[in-house]
Amino acid sequence: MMRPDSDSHAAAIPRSLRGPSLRSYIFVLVALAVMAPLAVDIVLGDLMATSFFQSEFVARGNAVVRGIAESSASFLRAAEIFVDAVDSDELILRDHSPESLRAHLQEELALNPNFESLACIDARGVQVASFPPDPNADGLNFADRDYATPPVGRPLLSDAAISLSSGHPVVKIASRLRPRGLVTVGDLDLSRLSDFAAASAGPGWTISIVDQGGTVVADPDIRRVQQRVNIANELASGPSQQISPVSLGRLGSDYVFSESLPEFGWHVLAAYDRTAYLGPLNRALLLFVGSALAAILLIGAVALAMARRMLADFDALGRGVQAIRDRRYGEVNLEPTFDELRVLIAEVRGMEAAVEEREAQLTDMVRQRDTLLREVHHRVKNNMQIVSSLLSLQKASLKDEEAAAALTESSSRIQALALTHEILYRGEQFSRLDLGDYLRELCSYLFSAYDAPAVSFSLGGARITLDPDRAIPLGLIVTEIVSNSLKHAFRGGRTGTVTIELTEEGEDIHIRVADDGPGFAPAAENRTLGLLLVDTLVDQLQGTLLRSTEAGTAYDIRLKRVGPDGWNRSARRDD
Amino acid sequence: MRARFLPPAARATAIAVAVLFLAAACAPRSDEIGFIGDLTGKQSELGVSGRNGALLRLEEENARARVGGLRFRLVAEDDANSPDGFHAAVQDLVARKIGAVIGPYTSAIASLTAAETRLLFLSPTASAESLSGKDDMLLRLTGSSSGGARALAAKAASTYAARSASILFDSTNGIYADDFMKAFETSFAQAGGRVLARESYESSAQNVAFTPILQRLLSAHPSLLLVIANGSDTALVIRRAKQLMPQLLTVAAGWAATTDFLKYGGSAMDGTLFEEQFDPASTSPAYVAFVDAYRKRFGSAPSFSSLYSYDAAGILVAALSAGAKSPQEIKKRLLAMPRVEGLQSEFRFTATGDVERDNPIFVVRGQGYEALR
Repeated sequence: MMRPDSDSHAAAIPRSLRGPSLRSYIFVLVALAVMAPLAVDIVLGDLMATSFFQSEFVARGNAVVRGIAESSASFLRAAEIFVDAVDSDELILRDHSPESLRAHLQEELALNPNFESLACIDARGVQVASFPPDPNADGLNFADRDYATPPVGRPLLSDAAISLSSGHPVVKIASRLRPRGLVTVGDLDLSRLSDFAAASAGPGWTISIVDQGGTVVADPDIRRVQQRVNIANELASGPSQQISPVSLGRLGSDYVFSESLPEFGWHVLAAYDRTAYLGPLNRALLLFVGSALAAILLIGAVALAMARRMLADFDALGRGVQAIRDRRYGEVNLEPTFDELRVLIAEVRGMEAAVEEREAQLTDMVRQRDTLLREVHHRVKNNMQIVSSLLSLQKASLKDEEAAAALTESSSRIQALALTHEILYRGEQFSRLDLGDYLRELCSYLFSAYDAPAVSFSLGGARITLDPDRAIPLGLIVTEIVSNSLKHAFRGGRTGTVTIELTEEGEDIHIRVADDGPGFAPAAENRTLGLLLVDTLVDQLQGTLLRSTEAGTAYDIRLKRVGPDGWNRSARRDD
Repeated sequence: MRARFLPPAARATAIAVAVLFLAAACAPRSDEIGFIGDLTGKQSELGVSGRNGALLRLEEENARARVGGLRFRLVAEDDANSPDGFHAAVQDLVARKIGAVIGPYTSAIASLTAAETRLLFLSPTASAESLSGKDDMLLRLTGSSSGGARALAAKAASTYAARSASILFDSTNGIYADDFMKAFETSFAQAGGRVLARESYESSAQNVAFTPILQRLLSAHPSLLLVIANGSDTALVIRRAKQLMPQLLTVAAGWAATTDFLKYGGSAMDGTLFEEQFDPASTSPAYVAFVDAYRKRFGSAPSFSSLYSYDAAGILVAALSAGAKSPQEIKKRLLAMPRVEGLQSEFRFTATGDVERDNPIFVVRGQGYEALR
């Protein structure tokens, strides 16, 4: 079964009249039917996430990070208060010897496991005692270090550093309660701060604390603290690399909230794994989008199937219309799916019936006209033959041979005209006749009329058709030439041949009429009526005539050809 | 006609899909560069500042990368300054199919690379003489420190008229300390000096007490004390030594020239002689810009480790961007570089992956370094 050739239908429409194809529209519609709801789903999902879930999440995150910041600040304040307390205890100590101070520090350190060491620095900046004992630092002057000279009554928190005694990450908290009094320095263990921050947060939250330079000082992954990982670039906004608080940012795969600890210059970061947060939402979205997708695909499949059937109906309709164009009726026999198409096809069938009926009427009219024309040609031919017969009868009563010959010639000429009409009414067409057939019958008559059994006749060349208005003068021309040949070229039972050759030469038609008789003197030719008639008729046809009397007599008649099927078409239009 | 098979809308869709594919093709590609250094503990400043220098360079390179260009990520491993830590780090990086590593940072750990062919090591700081001239997978950005040791000895003897010396060295980085010590002693002896005492300690050990060691070393009243140790230990040792013997000339190996040295040493470090292959007092625009960027990014000053790690990261980015993948390809490409543009100077690798640099001498003054001519 052949595939419907819709392209050939399209090709049949002039380009200027073509518009968008139905296929394009169907494709776009199906694509929209599938894509648009999906896009809406996604946008709606995102809107839901941002509008409904995110605002709630942001509020919760901000509350969490604020809570952690407050508790972390409390932790650090408590550490400062502890160092202050250790320092104040020194006021009541009577003995400030290194041994006594070390013992005091040992007792105090046992009370607070968040510190890994305590040290006392005197007013000169010399570390006089420490616990656990640090012989490499005790006795050295640290006056050039900021923690050796804190402001009176206000604890100092140093940057995170690695303890030279333990190698652990610590911050030093230094306290001096009176001018020129001892300074107490405690190394706060940052792993304890990490543990505290982690314990303060709820499940799913990751808490980090960074110092003012962006170095991590507390983190569930203690290695980040030990390795002094700096995340200033990830948190900073702008070229200054200053850490800006964020209410909801992104750090790796986490949502991050931050809150500053202004009195310490630090920042608390609370991170929540995006996957964990978005998990339930994503599952709901997946279900929503999945079910919508399934429905859309189903609708798309149904729409495609219907579209295919509709397009097939259009193709069948196109083939039916083509059949009507080719005068094949009764081929619009499809049963379309849709009512609208049924109506259209009913209209096409109505049109088909009307066309078929009108064609039958026109055919009948043409047939009647042909019959009439044939009858006219028949009667004209009969009348001419009567005239010719009358001339023959008249000739029989004449004694004068010259007059009798003149009547014979006239009779031949009338016979040539009659033959034209005979051929026309015998043929199928009244507007054109085959020149070869016409000339053959004409010559047959002439050979019979001049009783020339010793002369043979030959006709060949191209098949040329022409209208009766041209055929009749040309028939008269040939009649004169052939009559001349039969009368003069083959006298006394001389044998020979009369030849007619029809040739198409580009835009010209070439008719050569020749005999192989003895020829004749040029001076004599102009005196005959027949040859005068030939010249006149050639001029009438706007042609040329060339006579040759070498090796018999030959007439080359060239007529201008105007169109492919005839010549001098403009003259015919004048008819 | 087949050309009509696709309606215009389908063609538009096909074009859109092609555009999406193109956009995907333009998405950033990434490559990883390994890092092995000591990132935890008392000696971690060398590794941490080195990691920060490399990180800064990669962040700058990534920021400069064109759309769809190669981005680089630093995969940092902590070797904890121990052979076990080093081997574990190597295993991790090999498993990640990483070809090149910035590190190790100490000569002792760098010497372990001799038996390793699965990675190309580009050490910014390992400078022991014994590592030179070996056709292995270790390339170095620092020249041999032995030249610096000789220059230090000559300067101490000539300018400061030092005639006797005591030496304290950290045996955990033995290969470096031994080479440095040998070069120093030879040169010092040639200048008429004499080494009175040597003491070693292990920085990895707990509760090392420097005071008794120093008391032994200084008991013979040497003119100078040479310390071959990391920055923080050197600072504490010199503080204590200056306390015990204020007029002592203190001399330190370049290993100690980290930020820890000045941070923990304070004003007690004034007058200490250093050998160093880079110019910490440089005012060249490129170096000043680097220092500014480093301070802005990490909130502290860079060290020589940061500087050479910054250069190392740039060199590896160039090699990897040029298509080198395997350690051998990377090594070949690095050795073929006619000149390497460093932050402070141009240099080129020798056939065995070493570099040759000058060894200028510096003196610490007012929490800074001053070049000695």
